[in-house]
Amino acid sequence: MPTDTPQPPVPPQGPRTTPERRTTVAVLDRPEADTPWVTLVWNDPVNLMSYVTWVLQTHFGYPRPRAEALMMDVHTKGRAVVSTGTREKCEADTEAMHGFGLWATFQKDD
Amino acid sequence: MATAFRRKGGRLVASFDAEEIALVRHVLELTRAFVAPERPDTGDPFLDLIAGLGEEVDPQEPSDPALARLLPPASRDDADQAAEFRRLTEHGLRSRKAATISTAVAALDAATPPTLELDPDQARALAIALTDARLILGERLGLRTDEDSERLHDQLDAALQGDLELDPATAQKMAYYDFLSWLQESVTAAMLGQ
Repeated sequence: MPTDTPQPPVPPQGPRTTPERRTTVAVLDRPEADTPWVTLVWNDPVNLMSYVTWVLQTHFGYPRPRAEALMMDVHTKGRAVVSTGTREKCEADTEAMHGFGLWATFQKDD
Repeated sequence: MATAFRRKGGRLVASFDAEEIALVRHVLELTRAFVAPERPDTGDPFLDLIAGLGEEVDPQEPSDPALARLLPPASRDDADQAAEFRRLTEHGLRSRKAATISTAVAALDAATPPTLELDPDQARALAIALTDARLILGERLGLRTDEDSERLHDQLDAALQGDLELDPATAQKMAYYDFLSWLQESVTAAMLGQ
């Protein structure tokens, strides 16, 4: 005797969510108001250049050349923007940088 | 006599005398005592969570400049933002720093001199723990600018050559700082694969 297998409910008709097929990269539309914050790392006389590079690679996953370029900006210009995003992201990045012993601040990107 | 770290498989290996390991361990223990939260954790994550609820962290910047450097303000011009950030993050940050130093100390305790072998987590913990130790020493040595740092190295070199008289306490702090800097450079370079 065949048993009735329960059927999942049919999802309601909604807006079409099929992505455009012409590009392979999906780009999220981010409202302007969501992304006006930056995380800054400041130069200090104690942290080693290699260590700052390692921290930027480790925490942000930046490739070596980008991590080194940011480290040199910190070293020669006194500071560098190491991440951008929502306020929450920059707060979390700042806290992580403090965990590594780097001096970071976050602020609105003016 | 210490030798620099080199990679061996996924691990980092270096040579250190028992005295050198004991010295680093001692500095890290002092650093942990300095940075650990004033209210120690119980070790039970749930109890710690409950105990931490409603607990007010002093939102003022620490008066000791070395502690202020380890727990720096998260804004240079917005005191309210810095105070709010400190209130929300300082206890957790201090707990994590203490835990990281404990990982590094345990790795040193497990060493069999003259071999010091670290797995990736231990290497990472040692690099971070050495940063906190050097930030404290650097503050006590009055390092505020890159030029201060260069001057310190010149003075230490001159003192070692016998060309400069330093008071013994300063000379000792400088020697510690120099050795810990060398050690941190060594472990960091090895992690970077240089």
